[in-house]
Amino acid sequence: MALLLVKNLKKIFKVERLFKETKDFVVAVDDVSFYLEKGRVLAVVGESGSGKTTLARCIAGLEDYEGEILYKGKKLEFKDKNIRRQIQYVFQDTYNSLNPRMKIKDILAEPLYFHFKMQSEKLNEKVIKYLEDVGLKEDVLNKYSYELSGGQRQRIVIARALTMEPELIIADEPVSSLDVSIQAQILKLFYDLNKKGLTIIFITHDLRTVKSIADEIIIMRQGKIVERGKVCEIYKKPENDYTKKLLEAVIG
Amino acid sequence: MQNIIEVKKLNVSYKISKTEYVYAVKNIDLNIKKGESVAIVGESGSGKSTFANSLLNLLPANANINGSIKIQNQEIINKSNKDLMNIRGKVAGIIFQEPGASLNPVFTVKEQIEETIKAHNKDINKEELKKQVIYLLKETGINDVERIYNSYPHQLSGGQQQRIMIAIALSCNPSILIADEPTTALDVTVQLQIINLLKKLKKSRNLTLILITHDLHLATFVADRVIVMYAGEIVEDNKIKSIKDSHHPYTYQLFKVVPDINKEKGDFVLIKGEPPDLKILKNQCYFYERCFKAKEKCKNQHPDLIKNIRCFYPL
Repeated sequence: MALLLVKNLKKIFKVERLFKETKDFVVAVDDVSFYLEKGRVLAVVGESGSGKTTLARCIAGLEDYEGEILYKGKKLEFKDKNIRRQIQYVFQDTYNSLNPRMKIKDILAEPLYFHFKMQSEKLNEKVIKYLEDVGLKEDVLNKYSYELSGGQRQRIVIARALTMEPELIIADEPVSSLDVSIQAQILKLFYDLNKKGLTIIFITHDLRTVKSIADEIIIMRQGKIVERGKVCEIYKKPENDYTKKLLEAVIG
Repeated sequence: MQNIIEVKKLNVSYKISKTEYVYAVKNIDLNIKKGESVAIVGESGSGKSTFANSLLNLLPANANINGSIKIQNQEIINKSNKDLMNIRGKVAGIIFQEPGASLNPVFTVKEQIEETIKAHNKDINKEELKKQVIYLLKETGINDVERIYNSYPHQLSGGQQQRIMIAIALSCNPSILIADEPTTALDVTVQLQIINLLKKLKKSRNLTLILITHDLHLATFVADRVIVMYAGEIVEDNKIKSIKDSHHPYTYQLFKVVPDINKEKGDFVLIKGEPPDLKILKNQCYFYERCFKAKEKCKNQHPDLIKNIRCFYPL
């Protein structure tokens, strides 16, 4: 059974203009269907405005939508704390997704306390464990997010997602604002997490970054899926003209 | 060929508190010939943007700059803004990373391009002005010139905005164009268009092109000569076309880590660690802790730039 099944997903944004009586509509995600097996890495690739982030936000329960999203065969119910725990989201902008008034140890401890009621020593132990899982050392615990480098912040965001022992991580452009040498490190981290059984949806505009981690790929344009398939096949033999154009635009 | 840009012993530091300084650019000696296309490659904090901005003396107030920069034999440092007017725009134009942030949101495209031309040529008449603006828009590959001529920046896409920035930079016929990460915020297909436009303009206008980027592949695609910066210093300055031409371990490793569509799943090459903190640099090779070839000597001594490579054990 597929871990995630998306059927005819549609998301329409209403756009209200200040001096206009009528409302405009933007169809951000238009009739998208796909499924994802457990333990796989799915790359969603598209340019800005293709609806890739909206799709991810729908799956993560951050937007309401038309259509169906089934998680383990059941409709996603975000009132259920336990389900919410299993799907975690890593945002593009690490700077704004960490609270600047909280120390790193509190950022990692808060979800553990909230979901598992962990306290004192056990909590500390766990925080350090997750920190080590993402390749950081204890010395960052008492720092604030703005004292860290971009790569370190991205690791903290991933560690925070991991504290929930999720089954699915949705990573929205997790490496696009990082330096190339750090990009490779973060990609390797996602690769290792996937080896341990984590399912990942990886959203990006850069076809180069996903080649070394993804199993399957979806190419989106203007809210629709234009091509999908196994990574090795699509890179070798793209069928759709738009995919070809994207591949040709890769420099190097 | 004569040198159009001569940089000697350039040092730039930023004052970040009463006692603390960050040395962003250290001891740069560099000559750029007329008509060359040069790429300056480095990660964030390597000093590449500081270097680009110092070429036109565009640094913020907390920057200390010393050394010498000569553009067409005119010294840039310690010149007044009024004197710099003859160089900025006229001799060297610059475009920045985020076109949206560089354009003024309350003026139309037409007004912004005209403003630059008028600032340098006060006697120009209206018809001539319009002719020049339209010519520039066409030259930078804008299709529906009539619409965009009267548009505001927010009505344009990122690619169009960047084309406008290029048009403004070229409006006074400079012989040097500095492009500071011109494609980073753009979509991949648009990136390629902008890069091809820059290449085309370089040829048709015989520009000296200086491209600042963090993408080594892009650098080799555009430029004949690649200058690699690390922690504020030049570590390699060579004609680099592929990994085979790299002599500094950092350049070599940078080629290896850049994501690539030819890689198989799980194929990762990593540079361990992160770039050093510029506030606390030790007297050693700054790349020592991350280098795969590091030896004892690299730990105790700082290498000089010899034959355009700053390494004791070049590849």
